Amino acid sequence: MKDQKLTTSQIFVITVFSILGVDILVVPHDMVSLADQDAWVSLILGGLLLYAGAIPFLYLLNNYPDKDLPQIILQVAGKWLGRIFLLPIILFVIMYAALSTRLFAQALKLFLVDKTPIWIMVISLVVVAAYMVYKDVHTMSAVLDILFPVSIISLVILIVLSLQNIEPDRIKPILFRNTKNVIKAIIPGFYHFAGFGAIAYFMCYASDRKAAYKSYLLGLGVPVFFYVVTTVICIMVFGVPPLKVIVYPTLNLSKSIEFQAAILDRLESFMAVFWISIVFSSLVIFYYISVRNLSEFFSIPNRYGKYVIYSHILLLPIISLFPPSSLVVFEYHDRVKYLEVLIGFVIFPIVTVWAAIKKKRGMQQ
Amino acid sequence: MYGRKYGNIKLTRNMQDNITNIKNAMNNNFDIKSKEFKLRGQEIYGAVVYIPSLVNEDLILQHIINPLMIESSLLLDRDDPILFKTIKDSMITAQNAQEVESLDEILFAIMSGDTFLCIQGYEKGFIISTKKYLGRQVGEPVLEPSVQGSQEGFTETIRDNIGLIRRRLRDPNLVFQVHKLGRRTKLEVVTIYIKDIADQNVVDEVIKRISSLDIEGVHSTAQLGLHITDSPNSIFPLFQVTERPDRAVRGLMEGRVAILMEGGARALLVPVTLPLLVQSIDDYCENWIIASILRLSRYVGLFISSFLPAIYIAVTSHHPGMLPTILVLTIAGSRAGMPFPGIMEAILMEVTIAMLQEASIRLPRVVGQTVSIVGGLVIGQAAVQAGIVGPIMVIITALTAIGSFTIPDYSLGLATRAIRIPFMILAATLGIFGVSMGMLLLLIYAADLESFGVRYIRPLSPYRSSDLRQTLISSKKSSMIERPVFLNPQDKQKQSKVKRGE
Repeated sequence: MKDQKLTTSQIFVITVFSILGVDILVVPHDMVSLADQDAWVSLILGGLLLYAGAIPFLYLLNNYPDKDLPQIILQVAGKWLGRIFLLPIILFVIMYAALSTRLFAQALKLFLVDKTPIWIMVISLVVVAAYMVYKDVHTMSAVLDILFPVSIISLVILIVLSLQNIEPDRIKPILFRNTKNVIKAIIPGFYHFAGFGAIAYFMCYASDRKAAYKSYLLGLGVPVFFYVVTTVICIMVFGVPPLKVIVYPTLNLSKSIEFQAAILDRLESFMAVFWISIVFSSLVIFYYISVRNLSEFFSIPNRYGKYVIYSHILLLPIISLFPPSSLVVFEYHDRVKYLEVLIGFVIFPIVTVWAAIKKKRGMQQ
Repeated sequence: MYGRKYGNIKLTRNMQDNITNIKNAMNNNFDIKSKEFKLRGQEIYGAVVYIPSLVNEDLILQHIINPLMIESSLLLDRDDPILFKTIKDSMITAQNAQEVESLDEILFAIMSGDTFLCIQGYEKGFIISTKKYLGRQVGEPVLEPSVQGSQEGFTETIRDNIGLIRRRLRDPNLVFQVHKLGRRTKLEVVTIYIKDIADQNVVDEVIKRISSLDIEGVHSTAQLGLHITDSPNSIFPLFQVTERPDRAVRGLMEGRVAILMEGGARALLVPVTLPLLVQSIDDYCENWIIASILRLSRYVGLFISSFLPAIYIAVTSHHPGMLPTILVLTIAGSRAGMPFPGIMEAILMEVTIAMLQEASIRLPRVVGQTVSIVGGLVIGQAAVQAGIVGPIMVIITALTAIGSFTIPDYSLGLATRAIRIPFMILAATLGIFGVSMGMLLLLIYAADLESFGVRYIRPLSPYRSSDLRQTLISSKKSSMIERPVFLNPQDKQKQSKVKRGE
């Protein structure tokens, strides 16, 4: 009698959390390094690119209403080719999840718990996420539903409180002799929206698919909005040159706020708590996706699914703690995102077109 | 009823044998009384068997013995043979006489306060209901006092309790379903629901769980709740125990099922979700703005009661930078010379508070005052002056205790007490990060629970504005048109949209 389907609002929340993740901590730094004060323009264009990728993707999902992504790929492309297509997705998801966790643990070490070793944080995040994935999709979605307002409200508070420090002039000149960089930065901008495909693993549980598509498209806008606004605010608060050297500008942003009500002196450790809910939510989603991917890749029956979950408790921390220094993590984190382009603009279109052809043939017969 | 031992024994034509059989079955206890008499002065003997402490003896005299011996002789012709049917139809004036044949039924009836009437020469007898309802009067609710609500609470007598509900809900669709529970206690358990509101699946599930219970017996309603709960290991209460008839009626109208038990002065309401446990009946008596504030303040109380000591420990021992410098200095100054680390102080205080609360429940009310004085003095003054516990820690502990008193549900309050110490340990080891991880774990745990098929954290997820407005906060009476949908009521609309003056 437990709720059998995900409601439209739950699809919305999952969409937002699948994209909104640790990237929000680093997005201003990354983008400003590429496109200076016009970074936000590239982000908006990257957001448009996101929609360009998402809409055909929905077409694919619509053809296979009761299957999730690995099942669709295996059905469309067959046993062997399908597995080859699946491989980059598996790699991307697991690497992204692991490295995001590591990035976040590093940020926590810098801003919240300076004495706690990184591996403890990584392992506890992964273990709690494992406990979450061990429950079903509906419980997961319920937890995300509760974390959602907490996360969004904390982001809004951060943005509103930062307004006292802004100097709007810093964003000027807009697009002045910088168009080339802006265009170059579109693809890296798009990288930050990694995870838009995550919905393919949840759409099969949606109760009302038509409304779910709408809330998916709406949900994609939320992280784009927050990334753009955070970047704009960071530029206005810090200016371009300092931003190029600040690694976690969003956390520094909360540090720059002088909170008048003086119950909390340093907002950044307080905010770090709320980042946990954001990063945890995205970790959970990626964790679940990775479990689904591996289960389908090795055709593991459902009753052994929990062993796939257990294996991730080992796998994720190993990948996550593999990079020896924190700088290397950033490098890896950037490189993993090339896989996203491969997935978003090679694999998804091929599968979609293939599926369309198959459908046509099926109709002709 | 009592198994094969008595089930096969039937009544015989010999009345004396029957009475002996019954007495033997009940081990010839001294309190079983039997009285023999002649019917209408003829040579026909009858007898009544009963337990005096359970029956209304006046009733037996006036409505059974008196009519059979004397009054009926005026009505009936003296020469008419006295038929079994005549006795039932025209001789006994007591209400509700039922024919019985087996010893099994008779025993149960006598034990529950009915009287067995036996006539010489017949293989059957009568069970006549002569129950006397011993017990206290309807009194004020002790555990759930309310400012604006009614001042009546359930009693130990199930008949009074049903009356309390009936008086508040005059709906023919109100259904009472009686079960007998317990191998030995054989108490009545009544499930109550409104047929056209309650979700039939929930009703079926409740009835299935109660009727499939094979236990020795229970002696309180909450204990019954633990027998039929979804997850016996849950630290959160998965059923609502209430002693307020108005809350029970409220629950019935939300489409929930109430369970009453003979001898238990509480009602169980299922299914229940966390936000429902934070509601109080007073919320319905105030303007929606005030009611919303009251409700939110209870959520704050719930949060403080569960997490405040942990957060204090985490902040002072791991992140003093989070607090303003002056406050940090104050705290550090007050803690100068303290022998124990923060976590030990907190656990010490926590244990003391827990003992105090327990002591004040167990002690007779006359001495109860002493406990609070001793406790307040010892903890507040002496501990600080002796330099065992810092004054700020005392404030934190006091705030935590006050927070836990705002929670309307007693069991939920105990749950917060149970999670407090684990969170303190997390805070002492991993700081705020540990507390956050703990909260996430707790959230996942709570989100996975369910009470009779309803997820425990509904309606916080999935969002539905009408449900949220009615449960999380409060809303204008005129805008509460629908019943909360998460309880899956059949009749969704509870009032019409018509506004005043239209």
